[in-house]
Amino acid sequence: MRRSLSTPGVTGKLIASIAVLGAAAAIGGLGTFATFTSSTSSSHTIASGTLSLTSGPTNRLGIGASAIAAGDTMQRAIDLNYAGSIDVGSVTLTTSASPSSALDTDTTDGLHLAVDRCSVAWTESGPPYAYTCGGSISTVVSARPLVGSNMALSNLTLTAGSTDHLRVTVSLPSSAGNTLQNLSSTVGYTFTGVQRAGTSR
Amino acid sequence: MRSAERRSIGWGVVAGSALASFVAVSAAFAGLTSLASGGPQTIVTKRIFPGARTVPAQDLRDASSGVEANKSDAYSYADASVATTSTAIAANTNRYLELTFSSARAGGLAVSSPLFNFRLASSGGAQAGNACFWFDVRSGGSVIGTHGSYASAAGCSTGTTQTTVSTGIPEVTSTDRANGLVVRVYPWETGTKAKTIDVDVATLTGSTAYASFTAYEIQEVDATSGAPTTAPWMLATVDATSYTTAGNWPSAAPVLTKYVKASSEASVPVGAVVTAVSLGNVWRASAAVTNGGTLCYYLETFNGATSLATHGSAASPFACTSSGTTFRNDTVPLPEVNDVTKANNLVVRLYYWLSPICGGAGNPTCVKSVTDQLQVTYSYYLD
Repeated sequence: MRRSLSTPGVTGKLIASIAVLGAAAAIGGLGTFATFTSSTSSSHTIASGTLSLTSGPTNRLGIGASAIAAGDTMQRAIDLNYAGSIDVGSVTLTTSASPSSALDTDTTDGLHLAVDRCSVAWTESGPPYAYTCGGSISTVVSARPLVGSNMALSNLTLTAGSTDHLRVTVSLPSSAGNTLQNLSSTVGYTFTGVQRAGTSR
Repeated sequence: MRSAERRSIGWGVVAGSALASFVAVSAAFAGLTSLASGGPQTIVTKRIFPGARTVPAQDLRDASSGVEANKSDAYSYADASVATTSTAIAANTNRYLELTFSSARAGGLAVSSPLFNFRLASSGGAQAGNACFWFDVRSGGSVIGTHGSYASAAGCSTGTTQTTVSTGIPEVTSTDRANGLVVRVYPWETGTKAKTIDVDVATLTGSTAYASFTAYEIQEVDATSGAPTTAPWMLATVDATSYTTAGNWPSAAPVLTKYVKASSEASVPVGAVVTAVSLGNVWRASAAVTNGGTLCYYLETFNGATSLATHGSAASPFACTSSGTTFRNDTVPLPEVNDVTKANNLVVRLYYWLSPICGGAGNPTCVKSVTDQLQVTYSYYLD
């Protein structure tokens, strides 16, 4: 029976032959350099950085609100600190509700969220909390339904060692009808920072 | 045997290569991440959202003569005042009385123990029998429940003795359905010669988590003749129906025993925060007031029998008119009605008089007042 080159026996022999030749060449090479070159040695330390996203000292997101009605808004401030040694490339916000109700599942008439950033720390009054900005305000998240995953946050500083001063505004639209009376939702906020893209160092 | 080993080596290479590729790609997408959290944040809405709810005056007393006469809606209270069907009516005619109820309650609330209360009797006479009825319940233009039939009455009274029949209407599950509910009653008289039927009460009762309520009718359609005739409660809407006082109003100055007195169903839930209350009074003179005279009024509010405040006075009327054709539409803020008790026990007296004088040669004509609409608007919420 005729055997083709693709059979395992032939292929194995070829691979074995190439391996033997390669090893011999490598050994030969080493012998050549060992014989005709000299070397100096040097070393360098490569240390990895840290990425740390923290909140505070201002963080009012844990303060809820009761007896809200259609057209009401609630403002809560939070500071995001880029505490590590590596710049943050981007930050996303994921919100979830548990327990949940139509307040967070009704994406039209239910609760909405918007996030602003002040270039300096917000000046707080209240409760009920309200905030004024002594610097400039930029939009971080435009008004949208409260619950969402991986919402992109815009206009953040993101630089290692800096802090972004955010104001989260939760509102119940004026269009909210009687079906949204006497409901309760508990909302959690998670900010996720991802390191900047790799660069030549 | 050798062949099998070689195959294993080959597949191992493939698997290893795939794993290496996966690790490389994952490394490209990974990187450092860090999380910061906020909350949990509990957000709770009001039990009843802020809103304005309007209730027509249902209990009306005319003291234009100096003595109160009960001119209340015949369907609203068990008393001597009854509404008699326009036509004698026997069974199996499919002729009806249709009643529409007020929309005084805050919307979106669950209703428990809803009842339709119907008090009726035969008008009596030779060969009269008993009065019976069945009914259906309508909301949003659709029939949502049927109770009884000609073969199995929802209830009957005996002879001319008024009897109240209260029937559960579980299909009225919320105040959204209770508000503006329509009940179409098919009554019949069992006598060998059918008679008319006297209806004393037609109300809707029930409870929410915050209050019990009685809803009164604001419109009746009498189709017992086969030709439906619509009769709104005269104070409920601005329309062609109105109430004209029995007597003329006094000359020159109001008299404290001569007034129109009105109250409405208690509709504000316990614990609510009352933010505003106002009275709407759509009225005119019964005829043009001649010779420069005007018909004027001021009003007084009561918490039951306790006076709360006056709006206007004999020296400074709240409003005047000389027109016998054009209605004035007055809105009277009632800031003194600032809690649930006062709201639910609100009584209003309107004192009318002719200014500067009426009667006699060369003087303005003495007139009555005509009221097209008298209602109270309550703004409130419940935390």
